[in-house]
Amino acid sequence: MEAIKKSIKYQFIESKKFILGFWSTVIVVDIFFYILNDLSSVNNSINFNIGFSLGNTEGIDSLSIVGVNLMIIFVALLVYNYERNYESFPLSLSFSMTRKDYFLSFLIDNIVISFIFASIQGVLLKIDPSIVKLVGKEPLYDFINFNLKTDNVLFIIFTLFILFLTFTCVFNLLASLNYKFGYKLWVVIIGINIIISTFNIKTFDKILLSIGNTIATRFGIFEIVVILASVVALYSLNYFVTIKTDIKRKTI
Amino acid sequence: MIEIKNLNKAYGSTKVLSNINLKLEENKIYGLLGRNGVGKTTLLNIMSNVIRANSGEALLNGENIHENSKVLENIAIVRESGFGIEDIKVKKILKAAKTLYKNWDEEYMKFLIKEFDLNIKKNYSKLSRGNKTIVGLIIGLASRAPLTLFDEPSLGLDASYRYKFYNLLLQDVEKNPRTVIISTHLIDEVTHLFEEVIILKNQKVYLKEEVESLMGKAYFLSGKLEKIEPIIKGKNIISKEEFGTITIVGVFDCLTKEEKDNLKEKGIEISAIPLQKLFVLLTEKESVEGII
Repeated sequence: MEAIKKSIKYQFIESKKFILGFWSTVIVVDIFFYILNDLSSVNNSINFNIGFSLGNTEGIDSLSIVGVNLMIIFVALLVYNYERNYESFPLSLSFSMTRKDYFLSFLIDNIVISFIFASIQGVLLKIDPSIVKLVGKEPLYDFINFNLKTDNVLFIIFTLFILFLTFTCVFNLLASLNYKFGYKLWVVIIGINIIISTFNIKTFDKILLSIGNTIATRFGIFEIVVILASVVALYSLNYFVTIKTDIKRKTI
Repeated sequence: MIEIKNLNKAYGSTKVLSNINLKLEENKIYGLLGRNGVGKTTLLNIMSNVIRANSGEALLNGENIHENSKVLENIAIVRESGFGIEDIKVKKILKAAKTLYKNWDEEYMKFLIKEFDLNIKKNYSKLSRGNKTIVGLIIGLASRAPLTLFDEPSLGLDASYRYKFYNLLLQDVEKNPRTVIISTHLIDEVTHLFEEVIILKNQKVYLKEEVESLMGKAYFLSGKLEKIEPIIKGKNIISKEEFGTITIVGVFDCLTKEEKDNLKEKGIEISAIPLQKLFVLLTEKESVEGII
């Protein structure tokens, strides 16, 4: 128990820096874009939307600055999972952690990170329309998974949490496999891709489509159960990869 | 106590360790010796759960080391190959070690950083080979782990830092008794540290013996061969070199007081074989077997 506590503490120390660094940068950039949009609406000759902008049914472009964060968050989660697998894993094992303790602590860290990111982004999204209106633009409310006007902040945070955890778990597995198998993983992925496109395998397209449909929708009980079951399955697979992985002699 | 039972390890089709059996006592300093590629690093890595054995087990106080956090918190390994990551600040490595080691001594770490004049703000990849070794030594010493394993702790270090490490290790082990296993090629420099040596050869434990007893039965006899021969008949001869009329014979066997007196009476000089030389002779023994 003592060992797992130390391992969790170590993961949280690392995450704290990542969370603070990421969100302080993102919020500053968001503020910068609010100012840019404000300036663009004052001067009619350069009136344009800078951010996540969609045309609505009335033909007016609606805007969300904070919506852009979603793309950045997914990239950040990918980088975070790769960095951890290539840094924390060898360091933890070098300093006498078990693979099991490392995995469990990283899993807890994944959940915490997803929750913190969902909470911050959820609150920012809820505030975003008011600021967009203030800078003289039409706010974007509909985000497929939720609606900023009609949904409460808890539902938005919950939906984002499920989304972030799903992506985190996929990125984590990808990073673990990449650490264990190196370039061979990409050879296999490219190989499978070639086979699918050469033989035009429809089943694969159907699977991808159904995954897309499950994620890009307003979550009901069915979607949540399917997604969480997939997350558990992917983490279980990741566990078996992690306990069979040794430290590489040298990485990054 | 550390016990290794029927341990086997292969990398692909290359067998590295074959049926290793060992028992090590607490609070002793062991030297793990063997020629390049004999499996010293592999054995240390298995003993610290860094890599997995194909079969067999390593036990610490009766409990299996593999994936056992209760046991592993008592083990620290300083690997010659580093920490499996290069692009990282030294400070960050030390912080991770501080968080993860149960008995970590922060004050001692600070003292060691000053002693070795290490710049912890630097990136690990930018350090010289010697300074990379120093990072490992600091972690190994400050971890205060009851079982500390040093794999090639003198790699890239200049003589001054090497002797500083040996002295610090001795001082620290005296104050905070623990079991230390050192794998090294600079045997003569560290002979005084070792209480016992383990020699690996042909994937197996070739020898495990107390240094004192080992050195007590390793002699060079120099004199005329016809005078040496009758006395050492039936003994384990490990080397023979001729210099004109003088022959130097390496004996790895017990010599009784009478035999020693007899040799001296016949004008044969008896000298101890240094551990490093003995190691070389023993690990190359096939080529000199049956020379007399």
